[in-house]
Order: sequence, then structure tokens, then C-alpha cells
Amino acid sequence: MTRGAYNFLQRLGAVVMAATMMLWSFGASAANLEINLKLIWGTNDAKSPNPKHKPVSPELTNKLRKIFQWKNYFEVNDVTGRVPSRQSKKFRLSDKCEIEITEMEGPKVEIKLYGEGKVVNKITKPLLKGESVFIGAEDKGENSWFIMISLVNED
Amino acid sequence: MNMEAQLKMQAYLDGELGPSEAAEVQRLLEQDAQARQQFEELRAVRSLLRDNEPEYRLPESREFYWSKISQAIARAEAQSAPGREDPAPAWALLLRRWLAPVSAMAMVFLLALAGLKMLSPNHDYAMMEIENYSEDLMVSTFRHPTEKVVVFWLTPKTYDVAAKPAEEIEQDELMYQ
Amino acid sequence: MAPAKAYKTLSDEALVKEAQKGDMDAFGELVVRHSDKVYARAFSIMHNEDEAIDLSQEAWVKGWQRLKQFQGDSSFLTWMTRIVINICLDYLRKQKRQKAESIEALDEEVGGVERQMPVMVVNPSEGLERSELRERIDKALAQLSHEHRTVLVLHEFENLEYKEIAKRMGCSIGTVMSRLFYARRKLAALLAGWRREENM
Repeated sequence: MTRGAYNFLQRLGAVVMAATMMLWSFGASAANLEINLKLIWGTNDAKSPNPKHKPVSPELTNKLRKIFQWKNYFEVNDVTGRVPSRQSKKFRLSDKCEIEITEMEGPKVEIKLYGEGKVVNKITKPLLKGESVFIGAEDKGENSWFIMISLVNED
Repeated sequence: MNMEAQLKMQAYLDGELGPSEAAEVQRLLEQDAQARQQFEELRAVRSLLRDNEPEYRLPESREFYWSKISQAIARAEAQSAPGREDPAPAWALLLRRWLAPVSAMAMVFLLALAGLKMLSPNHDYAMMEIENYSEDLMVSTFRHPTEKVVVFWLTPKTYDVAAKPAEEIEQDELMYQ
Repeated sequence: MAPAKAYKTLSDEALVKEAQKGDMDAFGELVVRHSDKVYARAFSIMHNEDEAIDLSQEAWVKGWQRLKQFQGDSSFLTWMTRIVINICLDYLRKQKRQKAESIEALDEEVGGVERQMPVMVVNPSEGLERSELRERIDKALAQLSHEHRTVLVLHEFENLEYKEIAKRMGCSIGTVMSRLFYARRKLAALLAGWRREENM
């Protein structure tokens, strides 16, 4: 390869990389997010011990059964709220459980799970419309709980 | 009662007869006390078995059982694996040498494409970070692409007391005295 | 380090999807989850621990090799149970355990033994705990030939029709009917006989 050709390739490479960075930065625009969180209890029992807990919708039950091993799913709490661009919002799901969501560049969100006021873990990932994030664990009696986080809207 | 009649009675019990033969057996049962007794015996055994299937448990540990299965799978796959690929023919080597000068440019374009692709939804899994602040819990994760779900599962860390050295156990016991 | 996968929480359907992509760990979780049931079906036919272990393992290997063919028309466990039943039946055919069966086969043809068994009027399960009853049923099943036990297992525990059993066992529907009849009467006689001995 001649020196001229090599220099040409170098410059071309630089242009392409710059273009890539620009395109990448277009994706990093700020957004206000409308987020829905559900606290769900999973069990093989026919009923929840708390009569206030209603079964989740049939569509959601079918979806959860494809993923998890439990047969029945009950809604403990359902919260929807707005997370402004580059800011945080805390969602209280039960006496012991909160989720804090921060809208970040990327577009990504930072999801912090609080158990009894202390941070248990922090997850950073893109949150896309149509995709759900679940944080869960087994509960006593071979049951389970999940927090289902979904992006309703962004503007 | 002949054998054919007894087998027909059994087939009636098992729901294997058509309507006219079933009616025939019903008439026999109404008229013949011995047939009724025989039928009752068959019905009782059928019911007994269906309600009381013996339960059998695998007589070895599941981990050991699975290790044998996974080894058998590996052996079967090794036996059916294709042979090593032949070295590239001379014309392919020549072509490769000719293409070398443009490969640098190709790399750059590929990187650019990769960058563009990263803006699409499918790469979010690769861009995930998890920080666990709990000493008692560990996090495992799973992605279900069809249902568009990412799961973060918290499980308690298990602490095996038996694995502790003897002197440490003694100290702990002292603490609880 | 890549985060570990939460296999234990996943449904069979989700695990099968992962395993179909080549995830051996997902398949391993399916094996661990259903090993007892698949082994139990093999043992119910073979009534021999070593054979049941070997044949059920063979079924799992075959299940892995054929996994892409699993469409989800039935549950994964039902699909695996069918595989292990077929493997046991193939094994029995190859083993050609003619000696024990030829006498019983003769009995079936001439309508021998079961004709001589009086109809049982004693309720063999009366007063027994469920676990004791299951033990007795197991003991009685062990006394049957492979062919008779298989017909009972396929009919009473797998709920197969005569036609399906005949197809699986490679015999006529008539043979299925007479084997089932014999097996039921023999079982009734054994269970009632043990009960009578206790009451004496």
C-alpha cells in the first residue's frame, strides 16, 4: 500500500468514527419518562392470604407463566409516575420496599431497590417501551414476589 | 360368562365401546349378578390403581445423575462432530492477500455499523450494569427475548458452617455462651 | 464476570427455549426438576433400579438430541415421559424376556389363570394408610410380568386408550385387552389375598 493510500484510509477512518460518535450522541437526548411499577406476588395457591390482592390480568398471567414457574399471580400494588429528565423519583410499593428511578444519558435508567430503607442493589440499563424489567425473589412457603417495571411513555 | 363377554365388560368400564355394544353390556349387568360382581371387582381395581399410583424417587443425587447425562451428551456429540476443516485452497489465500489493504477500511465501517446497531433495542442487555450492596443476597439475571423481559433474581447467599475451620467454630460458640 | 442466570425461577417453557438455543445449563435445570418423574415412569415399567436409571438417562440424552423438535403441543414432562416409555419398550423387546411370559401368554390364550380366580369381594384397601396401600400395590405390580405391568402402567397411569397401547407395544388390541384383564384380576387376587392373611 502506498503512503498516500494509507493516509487516505486514516482520514476516512477518522471521519467514520466521528460520524459514529455524532449518531451515538443523537441517541443520548434527554427524556421525561412515565413509568409503571407493579408489585406482584407469585404462588401456586389458588388465593392470596390477603383478600385485597386481586389476580393480575389474564394476559399478564399468561406472560408470567411463560417466564416463571408459579401458577398464579396477584397484584399487591400498582403505581405509575413521572421521572423527569436527568432526575430521580422514588416509588413506594410497600412498607418495606421502594424503587428509585433516575433518568440518565444513554438513554438509560438507574433502578435502585430499597429494602427497609437501605439500598439492596442498583441496576443501570436502557429501559425500552415494550420491555419489562423484573426484580424478584422467593418468599416463604415457596412463593415469590416481583417488581415489574415498564416504560409507559417518554417525551 | 365367556371370555369375550368379560373383555367386553372391561372395555365398557374403560369407555372403549360404541353405543350399541355399551347398551348390550348394560343389559347384561342388569340381568346377571355374577357379571355385576365381576364388573365391580374390575372397577374397584381400576379405581384403586388410579388413586394410589406408587411413587418412586431417583435413588441417587440429582447432581450425579445429571453429570452422567451431560457426559453422555458430550460423548454423543463428539462422535457425530464433523472432521476438521481442510486448509484453505491456494486461490483463497491469494484473495485474502489481495483484500488485506482494504481490510482496515472495512474494519472502520464495521465499527461504525456496530455503533449504529447499538442504538437499536437489541443491545440493551450488553449495556447493563448491576451493583449489589447486600451482604446477604446475590443477584442472578436472565433475559427472555420473546416476552421482552429482563429478570434480576435475588437469592440468599448460603454460608456453610461445616466449611469453617475448627478454631473459628469454637470462637463463635464462645460468643453464644 | 457475566451475571449468573436465574434458572430455578424459570418456567419449563422458558428453560426449553434456552435449551433449544444450546444452553446446557437450562437443560440441566429441566433434568434436575423432572428427574424423579421420568425415573419413576421407567421404574414402574422395569421394576429394576439399575435398568430404570440407565434407561431414564438414555431418555434424557435423546431428549436433548431431539429438543428442537419439541413444539410445545404437550408439556415438556409429558414429552419426556413418552420418550422414556418408548425406550423402555424398545429395551424389553430387545431383551426378549420370553421365559417368564410364555407361561402367562399361554394362560391368556386358553383363558387359564384368571378364570380360576374367584371374584374378590374383600375390599383390599380398607383400613390401610395411603402409604401402606401404595406399598402393597407396588409389591403386587412387581409380581406381574413386564408385559402385564406395562399394559397396566400405560392404561391406568398414563391414561392411554387400547389402540394407543397396542401401537406402542406392537401387539393387537385384543392382546392389550386380555393382558389388562389378566393384570387387573391378578392384582385384585394378590391384594385381597394379603388382606385375608392379615385378618386371620
